[in-house]
Order: sequence, then structure tokens, then C-alpha cells
Amino acid sequence: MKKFLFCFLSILFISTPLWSLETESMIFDNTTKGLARAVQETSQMQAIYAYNIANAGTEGFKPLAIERVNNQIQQVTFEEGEKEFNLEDQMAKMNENRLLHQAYIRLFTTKVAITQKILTLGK
Amino acid sequence: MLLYRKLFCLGLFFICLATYVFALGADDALRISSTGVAAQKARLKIIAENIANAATLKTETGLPYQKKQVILTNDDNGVKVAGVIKSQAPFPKIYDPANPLADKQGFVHLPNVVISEEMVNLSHANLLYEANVTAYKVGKSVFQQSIEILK
Repeated sequence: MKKFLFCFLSILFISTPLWSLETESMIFDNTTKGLARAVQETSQMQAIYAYNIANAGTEGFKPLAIERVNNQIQQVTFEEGEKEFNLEDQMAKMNENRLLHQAYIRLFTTKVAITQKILTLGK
Repeated sequence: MLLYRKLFCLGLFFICLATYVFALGADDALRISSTGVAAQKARLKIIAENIANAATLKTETGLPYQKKQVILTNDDNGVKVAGVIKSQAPFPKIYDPANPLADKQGFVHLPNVVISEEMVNLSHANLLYEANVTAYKVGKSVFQQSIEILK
């Protein structure tokens, strides 16, 4: 019995580093999820800017404003107050968003390439 | 064999992820921009009609041509043409008793179209049309780049 217990504990001790390593997270970690969310958000932002630009000629139109909490889109509401609609501002923001989207896509592609390399053992 | 299975699963995962990513937002942007382009095109058409009829002294109603104006409203799909209204501004008149369209006092009523105003509106509509086309192009590039993930 003592021998069995000793063997069991030894195996458990030796294998600890193996099961404590979250092998799944090496492939499907937070980077992939975060990048996917970022790409999705920039796509949504593009739709919001397109909406604001499309309504630039609508009388009394208040542009959509984005509320962010912890760098995540929390709420999309119509802007309040007497602030006038600024087309140039919207165009500039849209271009900035496009560049961000481009960067996220590039990072995502790199991440895929890294994962591929891991899976093929560097071949 | 196991490696190929893993690669297949991973590929499937990324395809699903990419589909999910560009299914949300990117195509909305294209649809919204296209409504914007259509709305500005409608405005340009009405402005062109106003300029073309700036000298029309008599229409089917018997009155000179009345300036038309496009009313735009925002909706969930972007922007839409709510309607076209006729300007209620008074008709300017000139004294020309020899004109067959002159009234009893000898005045001829002219259309209430102001060419300079129309030119400004034309320029504004043209600018917004271009802005919407640019937004469409950016939306298209965003969409294309999302598709690149699949490659």
C-alpha cells in the first residue's frame, strides 16, 4: 500500500508541470479572442462612421457617439447638445479606424502564422 | 494523422472566427454608405431639375415653376428620402406688359429658383456624394481585409 501511494505521489509530482501548463491557451489564448473582438469592433465603428456621413445632409441630425468603458464599446447613442456635425472630423476618424482595422488584421494574420508554426513544429 | 486533424480543426476555427468577424459590421457599413450615395444622387437630380427650370414661366398648374427641395431623414439603414417638397417662397415678378403671360397689371411672375443658391446646394450635394463614395471605398477595403483572414 505504501509503495502504491509513493508511486502515485511521485507520478503526480513529476506530472505537475505538464498539467499546470494550460496547453490549450497556447493556441486559443486571449490574444486571438482580443484581436477578433478588435477587428469586429473596428468593423462596427466603420458602420457608425458611414451612418454619420450618410446623414450629413439630414437637417437637425445628431451624429452617433460611442461610449467606451475599458477600451470596449459600451453604448452607441445620439450625441446631445448644440455641437454641430463636422464632416471632416468624421472622415478623419473613419480613416483612423481603417488604419486600426488594417493593423489588427495584420496582427491576426501573424498570430495565425505563429500558431501554424507551433502546430507543424517549425517545419 | 493527428497533426492533420489538429490543423483541420484550427483552420475550421479560424474560418468560423473570420466569418463571425466580418458578418458583423463591415457589410452594414457598405449598405449605409450606399443609402447615402442614393440620397445625395436624389438631391443632385432635384437641383438639376431646379436649374433646368429656372426660366419656366408656366407649368401644368398654370403657375411658374416652383423650386423643389429633397427632405432626408435618418433610419436604421442609413438615410432615406422622406419626400420632395415645393418651395412656398413668393414668385419674383417683372414688369413686362408685352409678354403673353403677363397678368392684368402687366407683371410676369418668374420661378422662385435662385441660381446662386442652387449652385451652392449643388456643390454641397456633390461634396456629400464624394464623402459617401469615400466611406464606401473605406468600408470595402475593411471588408476585403476581413476576407484576407480566410486566405
